[in-house]
Amino acid sequence: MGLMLQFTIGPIDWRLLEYPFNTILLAIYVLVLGILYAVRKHVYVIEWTMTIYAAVPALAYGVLVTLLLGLTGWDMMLRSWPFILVYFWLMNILGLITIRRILHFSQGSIVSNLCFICNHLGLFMAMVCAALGNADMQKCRLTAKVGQPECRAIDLTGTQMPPKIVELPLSIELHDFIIDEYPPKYVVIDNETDMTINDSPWVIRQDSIWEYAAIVYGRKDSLGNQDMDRYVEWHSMGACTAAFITAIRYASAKEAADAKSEPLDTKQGWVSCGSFMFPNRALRLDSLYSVVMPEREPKRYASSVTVYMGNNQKTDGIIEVNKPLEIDGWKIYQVSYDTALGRWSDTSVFELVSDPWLPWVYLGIYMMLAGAVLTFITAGNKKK
Amino acid sequence: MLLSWQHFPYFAIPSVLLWALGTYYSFREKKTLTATFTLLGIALFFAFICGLWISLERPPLRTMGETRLWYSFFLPVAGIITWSRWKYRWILSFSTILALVFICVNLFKPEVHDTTLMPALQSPWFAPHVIVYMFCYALFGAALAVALYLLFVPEKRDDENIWAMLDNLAYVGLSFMTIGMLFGALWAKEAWGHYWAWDPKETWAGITWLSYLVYIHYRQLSSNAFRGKVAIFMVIISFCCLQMCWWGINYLPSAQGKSVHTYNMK
Repeated sequence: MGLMLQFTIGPIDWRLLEYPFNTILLAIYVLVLGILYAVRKHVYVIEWTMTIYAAVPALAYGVLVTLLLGLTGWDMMLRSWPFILVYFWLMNILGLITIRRILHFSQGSIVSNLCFICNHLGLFMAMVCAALGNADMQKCRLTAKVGQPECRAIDLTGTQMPPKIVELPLSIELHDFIIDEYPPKYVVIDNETDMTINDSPWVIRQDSIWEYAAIVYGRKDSLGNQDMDRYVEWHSMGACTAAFITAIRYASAKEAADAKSEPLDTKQGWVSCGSFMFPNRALRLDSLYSVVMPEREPKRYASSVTVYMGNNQKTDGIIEVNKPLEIDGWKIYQVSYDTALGRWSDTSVFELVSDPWLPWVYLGIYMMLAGAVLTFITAGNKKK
Repeated sequence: MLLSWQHFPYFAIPSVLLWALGTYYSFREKKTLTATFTLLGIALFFAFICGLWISLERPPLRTMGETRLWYSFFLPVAGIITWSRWKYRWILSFSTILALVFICVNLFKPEVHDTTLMPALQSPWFAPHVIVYMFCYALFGAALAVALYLLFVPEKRDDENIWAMLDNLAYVGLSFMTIGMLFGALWAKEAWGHYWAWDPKETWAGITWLSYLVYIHYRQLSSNAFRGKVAIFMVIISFCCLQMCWWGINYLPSAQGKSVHTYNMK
């Protein structure tokens, strides 16, 4: 049946359910479930739907359809009729049996009833509210440059191409974009393949480091020898990290790991990960190996911002990964920055999400969590 | 002194020996000795995890090698809990052997152990999410062992107790899986802006979850006719889905480059 609908009507556009249609639909849906429950004694199908004999094939079919999505990775599945119908059918079952259990709460043990209701009603609420709330969810991407308040953003919810530009009810001014980086690493690579060598006989020691440095190119002296390039401390835009290192060679990789025996050879020089202004620099160790400083990994990146709302209100805040800023029903997430400039980026990319149905989905999730804990507690007592 | 993977054998081998002693005494029905040795082994193993945690300056939960470490820790933990609650004598031997397998993988095929943690993983949700999942994997591993036992020893299929044990393991495993999954959802909302985005890892977590639900509901079809191979295969298939979710999707063509969950593949 799902396939038939798929071929006749085509994929489903969730956007059709925007407020207030989804709220009305929810009211009607709950009402219909109530009526179906009331007339269950007269209609065999409803009676059967509420038995475990209906639940098992429905769940199994759910696994099958989701498995198809998992194996193909085909996103269109999410808007296809077979997929939606399975989940709709599961919701119906969940809704009906929850009504029955609530109305017959006095029968059976309180804990097992509570456990049942938390598990089933929680899932019902999370699924229904997630599906209906999907239409009201707004998601857009905003790119802010230092010192320039920005209220235009790219709409990420629609499916149209190219994506629509929307004007938001708030604007974001970026004051500063900060990257904290992990300490640099030194990696020995193969000269020919550029592959990382984990078991080389070389040990790298860092002698000195400039977090912010500029390169000073060496000159050829009168004999035609190239004077060595070196790095100096320098704090302006475009500065890179550079380190002066000593590489020590041992007889084998194993001895290098212990670093106890006599070294055979040492080599000194500068290495740098470079920046958008300066090239990176490797130190050649011998005919086989070189040592490089890979680009430093960001530990934390954060934007210091002021958010202006329509009614002359403003809020200052720091937005970083895993720590979104919540304002006026919007959650603002740190997403990206100008990666070409790296630590010198003067732009920051945010994603703004507004999801009015979220509290209801969360209520469902919390009920399921409580249900899971109750399941754990009661698991052994049922059949021993 | 800072602990590193170099010191792993000095902790892992004595731990396994202690667990083996615990297993031995569980067969001899010596309860105190069983508990003492198993718990000592667990404590020693946990000491290594803590030491590694301190020296890495982050919870060791990111690479496959590190998750295997937790898995080999939680197997005996799940084992001793199951043993103390339901007194199955075989459970400790199973958990010890499986833990040994994962320790051996870590000893002989260590993967590159990175010390950095990208910003997306720096969250208070990180540790509970992965640890709860690892515990649930351990329980489902035990459930698989029971299912395989029933598959190859058909005459035991009429034993009420074994089925009750399988059900218990499935219920407890599923409750942990639910908690792990929902923690993941709550975290995803904070990190990526949505609680469920049908990312390949999420899709497979959903499949696995539903799949164990099928087993649990199927088993409620009460009559004796539902004790056959179908239920056994449900556990086995569910466990396969679980493996897909854990590491299989790293190799699944349709999931390549799409998942935001692939931290260990570089």
